[in-house]
Amino acid sequence: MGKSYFAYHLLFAVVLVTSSGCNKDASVSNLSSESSESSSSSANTCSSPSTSVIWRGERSNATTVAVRGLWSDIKIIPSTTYPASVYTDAGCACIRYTYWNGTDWQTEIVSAGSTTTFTHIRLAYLSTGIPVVVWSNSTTTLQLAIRNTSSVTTEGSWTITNLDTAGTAVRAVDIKVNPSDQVAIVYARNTAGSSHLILCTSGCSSGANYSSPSTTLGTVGTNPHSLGLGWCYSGTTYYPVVALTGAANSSFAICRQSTLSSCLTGIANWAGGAVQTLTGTGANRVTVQLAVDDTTSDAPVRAIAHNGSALSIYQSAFAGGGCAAGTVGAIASSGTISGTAANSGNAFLALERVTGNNYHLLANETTTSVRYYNTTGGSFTSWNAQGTVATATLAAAGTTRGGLAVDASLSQAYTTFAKTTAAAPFNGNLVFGWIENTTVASNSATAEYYETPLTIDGQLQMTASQVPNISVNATSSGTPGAVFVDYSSNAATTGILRYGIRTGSSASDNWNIRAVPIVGQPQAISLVFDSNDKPWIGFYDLQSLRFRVATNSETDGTGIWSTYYFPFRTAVTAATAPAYHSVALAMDRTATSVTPVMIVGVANHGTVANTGIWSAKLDPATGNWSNVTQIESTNLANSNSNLTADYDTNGNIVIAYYDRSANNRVEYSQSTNGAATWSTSTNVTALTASGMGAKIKINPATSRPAITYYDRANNRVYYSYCTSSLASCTSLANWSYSFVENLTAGVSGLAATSDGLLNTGLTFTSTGTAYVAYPIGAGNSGVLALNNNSSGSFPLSSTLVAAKNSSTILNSAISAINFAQPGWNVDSVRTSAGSLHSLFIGAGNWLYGTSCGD
Amino acid sequence: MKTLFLTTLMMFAGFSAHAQSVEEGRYVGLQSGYGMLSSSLSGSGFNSDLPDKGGLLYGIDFSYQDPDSETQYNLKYDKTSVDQTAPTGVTPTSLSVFREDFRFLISISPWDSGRFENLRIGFGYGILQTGATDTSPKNVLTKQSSQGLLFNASYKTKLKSDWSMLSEFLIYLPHQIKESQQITGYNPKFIGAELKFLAEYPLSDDIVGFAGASYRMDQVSYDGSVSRGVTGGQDTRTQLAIPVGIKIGY
Repeated sequence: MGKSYFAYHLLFAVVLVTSSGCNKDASVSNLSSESSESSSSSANTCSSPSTSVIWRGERSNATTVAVRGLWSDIKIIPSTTYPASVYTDAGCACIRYTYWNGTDWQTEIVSAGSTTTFTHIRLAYLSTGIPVVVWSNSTTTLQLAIRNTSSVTTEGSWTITNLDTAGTAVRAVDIKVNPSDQVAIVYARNTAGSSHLILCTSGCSSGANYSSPSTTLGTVGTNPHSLGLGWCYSGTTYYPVVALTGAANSSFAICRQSTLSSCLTGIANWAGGAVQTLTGTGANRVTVQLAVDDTTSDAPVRAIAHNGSALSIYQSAFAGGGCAAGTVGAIASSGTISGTAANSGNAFLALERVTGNNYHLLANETTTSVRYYNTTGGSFTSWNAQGTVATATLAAAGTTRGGLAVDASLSQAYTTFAKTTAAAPFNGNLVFGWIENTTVASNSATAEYYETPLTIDGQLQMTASQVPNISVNATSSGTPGAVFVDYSSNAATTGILRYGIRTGSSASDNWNIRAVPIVGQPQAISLVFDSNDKPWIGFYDLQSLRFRVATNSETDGTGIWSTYYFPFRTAVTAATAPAYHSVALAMDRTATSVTPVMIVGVANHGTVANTGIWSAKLDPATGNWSNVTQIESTNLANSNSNLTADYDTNGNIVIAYYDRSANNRVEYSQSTNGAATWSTSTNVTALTASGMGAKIKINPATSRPAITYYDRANNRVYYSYCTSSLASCTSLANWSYSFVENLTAGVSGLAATSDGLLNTGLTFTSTGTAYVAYPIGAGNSGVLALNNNSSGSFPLSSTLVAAKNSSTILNSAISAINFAQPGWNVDSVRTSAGSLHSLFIGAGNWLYGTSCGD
Repeated sequence: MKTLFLTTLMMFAGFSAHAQSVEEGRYVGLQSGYGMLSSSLSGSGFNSDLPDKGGLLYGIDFSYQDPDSETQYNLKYDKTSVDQTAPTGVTPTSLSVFREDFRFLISISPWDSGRFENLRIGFGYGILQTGATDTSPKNVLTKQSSQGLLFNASYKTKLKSDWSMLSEFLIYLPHQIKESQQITGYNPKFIGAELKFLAEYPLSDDIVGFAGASYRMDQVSYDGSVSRGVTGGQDTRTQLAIPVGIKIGY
């Protein structure tokens, strides 16, 4: 028996050794996987999101509005009678393209992200109807944008090309397309600098086919606002013609080169080997325009130039023919346009010939009028006196420029120009001027002039010192709702609180948007629905310096609104960006009746000990509040922001906020008894300077909280989550984190005072997969990203992208605040039906919604 | 190192061997030998596998039993150190893998006679530390420290010619576990088990020599994922030991 036992034991040992796999190699797999908290995977990856504009804002008549249209141009879309305009808009720091499609005006965003404004914008069309836009970015770059389609029924996309990055301020830009679809662009580098030409001889719907800038054509005078450009037709070839405002006289030049690229290598290659004088124009004039008939062989060179005292007429009478064959020399003035003066056309001057021998001219007159002039007798030297398109307050010369488009088929003309912010009506808006009859003399009463705003949409977010202004939630039946502040006035003190709810369960259903009729200055909003699906809206009122909560007796906001004031009365100091007073709402679901819990972040206060996070419960039946509890004192002026909350049906309420005091990090607290008491706040990571855009949610699969937030300076988005049961989440030791985005969030260029643009949208599926929506700034791809950890990790650098994205890459160096990109202030909700809804500010500074699973 | 330890062990035995017998449960045990460590991490995402690699095993234990009692107290420590080659894709390329086991057991012999006369059952408390050099970007074998309850049963069989065979089965149920550098997941569910067979032979009145084999497996299952890159990870660590040693009665 003993021997057998021993043998058995020995055999056991041998089997162990054998089975242990001594000869195997060490191995790893999926080494690149990143960490995350996750349970099971979800099939819903939002691969087919549906995106629509929910609200475009309503143009305000406040004098604080961002000016729209200081630089504009207008043209008729070829083969249509539809006008289209491009213009700058400070409200979105962007260039917009608005066109008539036969029934409505449509607006697209061409480019955005200018730190100042784009300037000297011009529009032209290829014969195919594809628009080409050129402008100065106000600093060093001449930029070109071309739409991908001529369609007026589908939304286009724009591709941007940098044409000149020579490092000096570009100005006085003009563009002309000849009947062969060749494109010329003339412009000046700097004041008293040089003038240059860019040509595209074929394939001009692609920015790649535009030439490099020419060598200097001539020196321009001080502060030129517009140069002249045209095409001269020889019968077989089109020659570029330019007009320049010089330090001595204004001048013109014709390049009679059969190989157009030779026009780019020096003025010696141009006819006469030099620029030719427009006699008597004088030194340092600011505007000159050309109108060369490019449908007639050897047409004369025709120009209108500002000569210091009026608008002067120039028409060539070249010996031996016209522009294509005649002897090129100086042109003497043929007089001036009647009624013009020294301040006529000193800001903008637009000259156009459409058909026949009649011409049309639009010019400013000081800062008070927009004037229209025409010829009706077939002679370029016989101009009618002015008609008045508008009597308006315009911006100063050199800071604005308008446009003119003549529709010969309808004998009508359209103009665009901008009013100053103080000019009512249409304060600071782009004005669409209409000349009803261009076949009668411009000074005739039957010409008829009208003016109206081209667009009346507004902007959702302010252009500086932003406070997050979108909160999203859903009813128990799965209908998404939202509350937001419409900052179309571009001022914190005149925002409009709006509540919206989608009308149905389909992605194509509209949203009903209503103003919440409060008297106040709302900001920092929060939306929850109670157990009866009635909306509760928390906000900070900058006017009364009080925190308030509003509710409606109907889910869709059509009932009676009631408002309550949070009982903490001593918030007497406005906060300074990037800090701001913030609000989060929750519900005490342990109560038998609806019991809202309001948590407020007092960022600033006369007594610094009173800064911090406070909470109180409301009894709506009596209007009474519970005692106010200070959850934490941040104990410093301007010391917190980004308060966020979530709750469950067991009375658990979790909050997070960015503590901007010496702690400088995201912090967390919780109540497990319906806000009766709160845990001592704890940081959830050792990271500092992180917490912008914080959002907190309770994972329904684990009942554990998680928080998403930015580290702006390091381009990171974090996902911090509690690793233990809720009761233990009050300790830093029980929190861990992973990256949602690591070093690639593209937002480090954002000024700290614009931290308020940063938000994350955190939701969980019922099985516990986290979905995080967040903007990747213009420093990277400029997209709204939607990342999830369904695969066990957040796939860094392979982020899922949702929503419409704009081509902002070329402008990424201009500004991190790029309102052509989607995603600012995103907030998300996952409904009881499982659909995911993210609302955010996107292209044009409008409110967008992207949904999945509906 | 191994030779030095064995020499020291024998010298200590030579000086100390006296007094009561090992059979009565009062002894100091010294052991050395060959220990092989392996590990594997499985789950969704990052996986790793370190096959068995052998190295020095050494340990000491102290046992006491009152002459008038069946209750035996045993305090034991052993350590195994192994040099291992790291898997391709992580740094550093060489790893030092270790395993340290502290345990305190109290056991009794419930039956004075009959078939289970030589059966002892016991319980106690153990601390287990295992791990390896930290690797990046992912940690192949995290440093893991756990502590918890031990339950064991041992049975001693008398063989011919003074040989005896000791069989032991042990279960380890930790209530606390910590990982360092990277964390595998949350909600750890830990269990360890050990099976050991030792052949013992009396070298003198008070010294018993022994040799044998043991197999220990510790397995932790996690929920979710933290920083190690695996979701629903299962971390399994094994030790196959072939100890040789002596028990010196006192």
